[in-house]
Amino acid sequence: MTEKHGDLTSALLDGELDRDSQLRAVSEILSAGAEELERFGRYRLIGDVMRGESSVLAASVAGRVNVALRDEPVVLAPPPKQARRWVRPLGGLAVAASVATLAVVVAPQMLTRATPEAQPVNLAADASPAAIAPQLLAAGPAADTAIGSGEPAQVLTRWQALDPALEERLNRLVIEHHEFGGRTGINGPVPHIGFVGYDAR
Amino acid sequence: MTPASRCLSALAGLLLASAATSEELTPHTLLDRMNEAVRLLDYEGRFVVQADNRLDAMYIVHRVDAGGEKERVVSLTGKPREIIRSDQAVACLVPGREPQINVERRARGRSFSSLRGVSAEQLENFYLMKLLESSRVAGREAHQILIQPRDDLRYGYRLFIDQESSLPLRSIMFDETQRPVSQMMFVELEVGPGITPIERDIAAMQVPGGDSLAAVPEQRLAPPAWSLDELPPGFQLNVHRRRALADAQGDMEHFIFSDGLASVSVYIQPHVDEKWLSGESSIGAAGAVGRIVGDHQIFVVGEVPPKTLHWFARQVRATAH
Repeated sequence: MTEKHGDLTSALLDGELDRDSQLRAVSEILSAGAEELERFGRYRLIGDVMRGESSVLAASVAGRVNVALRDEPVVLAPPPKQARRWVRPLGGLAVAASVATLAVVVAPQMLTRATPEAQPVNLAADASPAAIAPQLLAAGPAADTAIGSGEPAQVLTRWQALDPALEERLNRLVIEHHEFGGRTGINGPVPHIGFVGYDAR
Repeated sequence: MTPASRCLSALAGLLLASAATSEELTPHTLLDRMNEAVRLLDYEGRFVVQADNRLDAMYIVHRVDAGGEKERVVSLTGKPREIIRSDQAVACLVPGREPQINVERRARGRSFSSLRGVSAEQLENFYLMKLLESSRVAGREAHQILIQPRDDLRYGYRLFIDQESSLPLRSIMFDETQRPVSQMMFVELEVGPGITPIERDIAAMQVPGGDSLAAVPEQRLAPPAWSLDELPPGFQLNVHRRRALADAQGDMEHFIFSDGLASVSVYIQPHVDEKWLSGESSIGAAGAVGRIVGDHQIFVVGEVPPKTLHWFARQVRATAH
């Protein structure tokens, strides 16, 4: 994955692009080939599952996105050379599958800005904590699908409203906390996940 | 013994071994295995991390040799960010930020676990632990554990532990309202020999411009100049260290408390500039609370609810000598 494509994927995942930019980004990712599409689709789908967003809902939204995409043929049309490459039998199949995947996984993100009322995250957020709690604590397969259904608690990925020098100091303290406090694996294998995710954009 | 009876005997042995293994499967034994696995195994994989409404994809390779643990963590989305760890240092590489490399001294040799030495009974005093139905993560069979706190001073966890390697395949940390604070999940995982070497990356840490903290002498076993009157239930002191701050700004005392799963650091240092924190802040799942006591700044940091951080901050007192 190139840095450019990584940034595009990231921006799409985070919903940082306006509608025109989203369409241009989708076009570029499509042009990057099936591998990039597959990766993007996998991460997006995982994100949806971890956030407890319904894949069924995403699929239904995808249909509406497909309509929107059809309205933007110029933006989404791949360059001629890549179009010729795609007509190879296996390549065409792979891309077709990838486009389908992309349509499903991109859908919620792309409609976020255009039609906020269709955003699955908001639907989940409407559920009261009390309604979410029993699902989360229940054992068995049903709980597995419900674990992410609560809206994530309010956390940020930067220190809130702090002076940069103070931010830097706190970053050091968090690193020392993890380095000297030992690791149990309780939050995953990496104690510094928060820091690696820090200041991404 | 006929071939058939040998087969039956072998089958019985397998069944017995399986039963014995099942009997040993408790949340606490799985936690023990997991915290050994994350430190002692060679593994490499890609995982996703969610905090707030944000999702990041990351790559990790972790190797153990005679020299100890070596680890490299790289962000796959957004701007390139990377952390490289060895026994001597941890380097955080964030392009566009100064200083680009932060090197901190590690505790000593191999990393340790705050869970070590904590009995199941101790944990059960503060957490309700259940073994749930097995699940599948990253194409691997996983044991599933629910760890529910018995009070609101610590977060809960739901863990999916690889049945083969005991590595955590998925971890969800949730607050008292049962909402996820953060979670991570492996997408791909390789364990054992054949993973990517990272010695060259470790060597790259030796570039000029490393953090001056690397050269700051650390004093251990020095008598603490500060103490905490009353700790939150279940927490006990695991580590006390003192190190000199850069630029002769005095000493910083560092206490680490843990209940076996959650840990909290309390830092006390002279208040030498205008950059102070009074109140709370957070980054990802980690929270921080600051307080000024006389001419000292107190920082409390940890992945626990804010009220727990405030509890620690309130209890800091200077020790009379």
